[in-house]
Amino acid sequence: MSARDHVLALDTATDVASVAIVETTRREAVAELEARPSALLARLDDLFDTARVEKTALGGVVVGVGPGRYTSLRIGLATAKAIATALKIPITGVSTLDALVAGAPGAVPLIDARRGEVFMHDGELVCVAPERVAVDGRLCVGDGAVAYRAELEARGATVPGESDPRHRVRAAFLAQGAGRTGLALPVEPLYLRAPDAERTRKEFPQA
Amino acid sequence: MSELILGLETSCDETAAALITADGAVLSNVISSQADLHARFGGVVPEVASRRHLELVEPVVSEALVEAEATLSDVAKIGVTQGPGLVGALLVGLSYAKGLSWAAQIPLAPVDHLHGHVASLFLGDDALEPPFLCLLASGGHTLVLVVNDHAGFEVVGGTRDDAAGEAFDKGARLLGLGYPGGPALDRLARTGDPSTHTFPIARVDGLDFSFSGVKTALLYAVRELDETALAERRADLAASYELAIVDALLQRIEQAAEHTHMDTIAVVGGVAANSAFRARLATLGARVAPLPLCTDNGAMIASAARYAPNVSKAGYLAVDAYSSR
Ligand SMILES: Nc1ncnc2c1ncn2[C@@H]1O[C@H](COP(=O)(O)OP(=O)(O)OP(=O)(O)O)[C@@H](O)[C@H]1O
Ligand SMILES: [Mg+2]
Repeated sequence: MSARDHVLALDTATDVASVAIVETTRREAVAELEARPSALLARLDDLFDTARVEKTALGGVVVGVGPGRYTSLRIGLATAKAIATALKIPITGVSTLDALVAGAPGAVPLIDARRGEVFMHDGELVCVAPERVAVDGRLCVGDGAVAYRAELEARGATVPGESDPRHRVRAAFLAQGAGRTGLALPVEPLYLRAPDAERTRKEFPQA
Repeated sequence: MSELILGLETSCDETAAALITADGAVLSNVISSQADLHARFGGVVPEVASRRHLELVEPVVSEALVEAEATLSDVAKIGVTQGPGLVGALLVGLSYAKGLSWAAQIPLAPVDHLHGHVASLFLGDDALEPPFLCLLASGGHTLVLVVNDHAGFEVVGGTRDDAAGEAFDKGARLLGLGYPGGPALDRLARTGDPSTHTFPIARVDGLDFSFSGVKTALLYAVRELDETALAERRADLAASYELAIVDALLQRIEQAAEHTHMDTIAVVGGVAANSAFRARLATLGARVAPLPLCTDNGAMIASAARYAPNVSKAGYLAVDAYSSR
């Protein structure tokens, strides 16, 4: 029986999911892979082969709770919860925005919220048009920064090239970020938006 | 205990999990309905349903295990609905089941929801043995099936437009009964006189159904009435409307039995819960799914999984949800 000295980290908030196995004491990723959210479990299986770590070596699961794509987030959270339950190990939620910052200290992390908006941290978590982000002279990272490059650069922001690794959410940073900031969140998606049907009802209460 | 089958269902607005034994005894059948949540929208809202499934999937599975006095190590197979249904909703149950299978090394069997409805007949002491002719009448489907073995079926008839359950739901809405309409219409119809109104039963070729005409006929009947008249006649309209649908279903299934030379008739799906329908089926000597197993549940999925091939790890890792057959 091996010591439970590894953590499984995964994030499916964006179109490029990330999975990693992090060694707990050294806080180092022993393996990390990218995945399509829909192929998450297959990539997790590859991950354990690559890392040569047994599932019994896991002492916990860390999962990115967004904000991000709703369906993908639910795939990640349902998978992570099941794994933690089956292995009887604790599970922790971490903000995907925190993982982005962990990979690009000092930057403004932006996640594409579609419909002309980004998810960001601005005192609190918000969903806003990129025009409303205070970015002058700052570095912006994340798929939201790439999607709204023109709007952000026009207002004085620096956005690295599309293939810059700092735009990618990395599960390894998720696990490290969880330890560093100690910001453990409930294991539920940070939706930030009500379902469309609710919003329509609010606007048209008679409907 | 160690050869149990866990069934998980999240295709629409019920989060459901159940444990059955290897010989089909139901040990637990936990169903968390979201009906109340969707009622104010007048129907199932996919994003609302998906959110709720994620909240409920874990507590529902663990409650099913507790009620069965079992743990995951007693589970020899996990059956999960792969489709048809709302893809976002299906993905919650499917991802959870795949995660459990992979981490606990339990074989997985992806199940077709419609096969699940048929497999509700294979549970308990009084399990039905194929071959038989089966009517599947639910919220999304109305199918005449020839069931020759436990593992599948052949479709010999279907609906050209609305499903029977949908006809009940739409009729209920026209009568102002809210959502979900089928059970409400059933209750109201018991107090009404089914001979007061005649609603036409559409005649279509082959062994198919059509329910859009009967719904339109009800719409016209309702339109002719003012508030007070409608209040007076509501129960009679419900009873007459229900009779028209039940007659159409019975007529077709008897024709199908003749046509396919099958002696045993069985009915499954949410509409099989209808009390007037059940009474008529009893006089006919037809089999009908046990009441708690008519609408969506985990036991029927576990039952289908019992007869479905296990998918190897390499195969199930990539299993995806599908919205329609
Ligand atoms: N007592 C009843 N009388 C009439 N209809 C009923 C009754 N109870 C449930 N129904 C109807 O059954 C349907 C729900 O059945 P079920 O859960 O099998 O459908 P579904 O899962 O939504 O659709 P499908 O199985 O086709 O994907 C609804 O349309 C509901 O109105
Ligand atoms: Mg159903």
